[in-house]
Amino acid sequence: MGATGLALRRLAASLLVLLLVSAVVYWGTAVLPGDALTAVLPMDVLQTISPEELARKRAELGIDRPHLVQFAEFLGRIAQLDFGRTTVTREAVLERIDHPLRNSLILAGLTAIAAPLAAIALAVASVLRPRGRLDATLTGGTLFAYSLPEFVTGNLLIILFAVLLPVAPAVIMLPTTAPSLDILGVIALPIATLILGGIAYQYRLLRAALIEALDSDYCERARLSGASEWRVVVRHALPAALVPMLSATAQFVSSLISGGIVIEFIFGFPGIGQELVQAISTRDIPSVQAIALFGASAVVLCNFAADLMILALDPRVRRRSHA
Amino acid sequence: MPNAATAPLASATAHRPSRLLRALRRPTTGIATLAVVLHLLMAATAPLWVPHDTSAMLDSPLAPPGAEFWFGTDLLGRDYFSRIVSGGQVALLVAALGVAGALAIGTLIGLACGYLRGAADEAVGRLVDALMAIPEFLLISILVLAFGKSLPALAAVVALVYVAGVVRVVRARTIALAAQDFVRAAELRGEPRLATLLRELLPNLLPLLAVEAPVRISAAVLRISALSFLGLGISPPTPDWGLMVQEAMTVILTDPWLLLFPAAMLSSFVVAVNFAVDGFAAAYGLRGEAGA
Amino acid sequence: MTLLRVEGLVVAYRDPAGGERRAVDGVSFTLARGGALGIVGESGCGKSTLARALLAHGRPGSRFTAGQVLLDGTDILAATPAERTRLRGRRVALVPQNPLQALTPHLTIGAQLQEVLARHRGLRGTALRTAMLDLLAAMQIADPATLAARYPHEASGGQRQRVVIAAAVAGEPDLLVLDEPTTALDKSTEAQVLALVQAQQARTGCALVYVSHDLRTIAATCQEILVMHGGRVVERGTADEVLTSPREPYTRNLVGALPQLAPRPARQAPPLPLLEAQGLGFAYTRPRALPFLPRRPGPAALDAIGFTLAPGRTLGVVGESGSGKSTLGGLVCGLLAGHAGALRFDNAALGGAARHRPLALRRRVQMIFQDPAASLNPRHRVLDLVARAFTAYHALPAATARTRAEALLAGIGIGAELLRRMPGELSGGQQQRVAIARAFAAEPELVVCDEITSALDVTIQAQVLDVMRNMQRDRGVAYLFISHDLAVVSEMADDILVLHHGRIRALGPAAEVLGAPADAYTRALVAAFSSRRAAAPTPVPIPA
Repeated sequence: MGATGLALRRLAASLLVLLLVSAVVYWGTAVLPGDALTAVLPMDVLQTISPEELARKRAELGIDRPHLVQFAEFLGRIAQLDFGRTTVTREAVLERIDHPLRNSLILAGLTAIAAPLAAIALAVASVLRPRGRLDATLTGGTLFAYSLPEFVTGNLLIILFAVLLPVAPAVIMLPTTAPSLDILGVIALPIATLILGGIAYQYRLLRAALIEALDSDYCERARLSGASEWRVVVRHALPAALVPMLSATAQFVSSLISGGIVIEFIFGFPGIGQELVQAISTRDIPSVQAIALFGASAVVLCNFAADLMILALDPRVRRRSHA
Repeated sequence: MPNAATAPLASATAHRPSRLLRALRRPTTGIATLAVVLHLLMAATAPLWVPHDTSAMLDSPLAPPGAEFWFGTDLLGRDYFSRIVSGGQVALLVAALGVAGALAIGTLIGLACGYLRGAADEAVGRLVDALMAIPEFLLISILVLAFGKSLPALAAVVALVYVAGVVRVVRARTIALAAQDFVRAAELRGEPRLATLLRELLPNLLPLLAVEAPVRISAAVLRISALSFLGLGISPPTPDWGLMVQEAMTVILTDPWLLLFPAAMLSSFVVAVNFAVDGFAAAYGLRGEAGA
Repeated sequence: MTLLRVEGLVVAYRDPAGGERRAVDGVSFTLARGGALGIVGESGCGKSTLARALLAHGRPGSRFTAGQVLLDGTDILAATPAERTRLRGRRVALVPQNPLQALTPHLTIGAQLQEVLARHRGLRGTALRTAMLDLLAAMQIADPATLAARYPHEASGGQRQRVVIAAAVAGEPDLLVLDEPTTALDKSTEAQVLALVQAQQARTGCALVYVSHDLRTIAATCQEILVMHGGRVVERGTADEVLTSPREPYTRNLVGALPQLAPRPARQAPPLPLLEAQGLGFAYTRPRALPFLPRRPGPAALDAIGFTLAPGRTLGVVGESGSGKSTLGGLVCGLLAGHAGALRFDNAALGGAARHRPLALRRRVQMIFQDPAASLNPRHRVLDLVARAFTAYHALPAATARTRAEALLAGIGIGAELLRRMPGELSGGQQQRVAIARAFAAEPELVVCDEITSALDVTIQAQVLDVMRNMQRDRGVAYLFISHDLAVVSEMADDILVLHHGRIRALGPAAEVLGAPADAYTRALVAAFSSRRAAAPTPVPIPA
């Protein structure tokens, strides 16, 4: 099977995963205790309504029908990007999350590009002088950074850069609808926080893979045919070593969405994470569904992109994967 | 194959007990292990010896550290030392229970899928992909929304969230193991499939699980703390480091030190677990298992 | 005129416990310009470390602690890193052991050769590509342009070996170091590759250092031989001297352990066959193109095979990779199911997966695998591994099973001190003995032996073969003895079956097949294994 065939297979698998994700999101939010109706109505109102009344309202909302029917309808709606209206303010969900989504995309996008590039640069520098001072510092430092939760690093950065040497704002005072370019001006600390954790994990994976590759027979052969160490690292070891890191990078992007929520909360960043926390605490199910689906789509897309890059980097995968 | 590297391997495996000592003798691993043990002891025994009730308001808010209140008091005038010392209990308990559940269920499913393959394996594989495609935090949020925030509910959420990852790594390792001839040998003996799973394959997964368990527990502690930090996890007035960081954030510009205590406790636990696992994995030649 | 002089070379590895282990311990020799020197030794003797020292390269964790490597009178161990890099590939080049692992997986073969040519000959653009294609053509590659566009895993074993040789000779070095260059190859391919190396030597006048565990191949290629053991040179001499009149006990042992291409004395065959095949065929199914589509059969791995094997006798099955020999073993044991034709064991149809066979049948047909490290569960103790077979096949209580296992293991040289160990704590030879004991614990009538010595050193191989012969003599068990090594098979087999691409090329008593093969392929195989045949030296008692 050619690379195109495999890519198509992965694409089909990604679409299937998206379908399953919608199912998980649907059942997770609509079926488990507290349906769309009881979630909307406050507890004291709920107690005054008779069971017959409740059933009638359910029928009105269409939530008394079989779940499979409702799920098909749900799929049909989201296929047209219709996520319904928020339960509290009754505004269109898509309209409400549009701006925060863009802001978060800028934050996540910049981090997703910067973190792997930085990890590659650091890992290559590290293995060019294995067990040197830089290597030792980075190895210890990244394990430390990797173990720190974002809400701790974020707050430490605030204490450092906003309290001790006030060079950055501690809290971002921007309305959700501020133009995207304004966001760039205040994004330094949130990005730094996210990158710190991201670099750490990707650097550690890449360094381990590079060391393994550099210990391989093919790198020894390249060395013994007179190649410089730089050439051995960059041309012979790096492409194969990137493969495990790329899967981790895709996971990192997924965790960016989680980490992003915390970061947005700490810095008051007007992004999708803030919306999510609010939606959850008000049990605004349509918003939660929309945000979850957008997040999952981003992850599926990243995984697919990582798969494609791995296919391009390692010709052996093309054969292995259909064995 | 003729290879000069085989000789030291044989001599290294011959002295098994000394590897534990050699790992502990490395300063980072030794200190990290000690820190993990202290953390666990502290979480287990704190209620027996903390000087004050963790939810009683005893003094004016934000009192400075002193002889009575060693770390001062928090925003509500509760003894900060007692709260800090007790602040890991719930998160650690929830994480340990949840991860134990995830490992038990995930290992069984992963083993069965990796060895038996077939259509059921395909289906499980896709479901695992789907669960892992939902950002962990979103999944936790949705589940917390559905199950509530009680302690058993949180543990169930942790188990549900981590089970997909465990299935994935266990399945991958099982496929590699099942291709080896010792499994063929068991099949030729006519061993039932269940016996092959439990007697031949499961013991070979133990090193993987030994690395997975602590790494995932520490990750789960982080996640739960982050949830509590956002107000979606453990509810006040339970002392919890994530909640304490959140409370301290409101006075970060005036009293940043209030934030440092819970941050340091939480970080020291996770850092210590990771350094200890890293050290032991290196000593036992399990480097490949870490980060899987 | 001397090209290379090694003097008192010591290479030491750091021990994890803190000490040092000398892999090369005071080796000295000289090599003339254009000469050929063979270095032979078993696993762990330090020969690969020595080969790398000739390029001033130490494996990670090793140090040159004493001695010199003088190339044209200059000590290359004293050179700066930059000088070392400059001399590699241009003055000394290495042909590494396993070409699949030695070629960068994500670069095409053409790109890898061009990299070396650009570096050593300063070529660019079309001239570079032409030179690369010429180089491949010089390695007798039929279609250089096609191979150049392939990735290493897409080439055959013989092609890959030619590519790594091409990469090594691209810089026209004065000294070519070959580290086990043909170990991964079939015998017939090996001869072609060696001819290529010798042609290269004749053309450029480069000197050869040929490192191998295979004394016969070395003797066919080199005038002078060093025998290494424990990091030291234990014997040196011409090829004939070492092969026919070794002086040192170690060398005598090594030469004595070489399998001889000579049929074992003919034995009377019992009239009734134990195992019988008629028109036996098998085809593996292709992977599904898409999920849920029906599987389609692939090309025939075995094509209408017929043979008989009598109780207590040995049928040797010889073939190269892809010949179908392991498929045959798998069908007999029940690792594979779904054959065409007839396969009978003790006058009853044999077939189907092992789990569908009755216990008694599973017990009577046993299998020993190629790699004992993989066939013994790494997390089970030696005693439990063998005792398990006793409980599974004879339903013995645990304590009795352990006692029986202990006795059986002791009988083939696995003492009480090893019983509590995990397989990873045993040597390769000990592991294979445990695997043998496990098979015999069933008290079988037929044992399928699939390449059971190919992972072992030659002296260990001789011991394991000895164990197998003794077990057959004492227990009257029949062997289906599968191997790529005709010499090993000839030492064990009463009858020999030669397989090639799933078809029988020769079948008959060993003396007939080895003596006057009618088939051309079999003749070539016999010739390849009898080149530089050693006259049998005086046997030396082999320590257990």
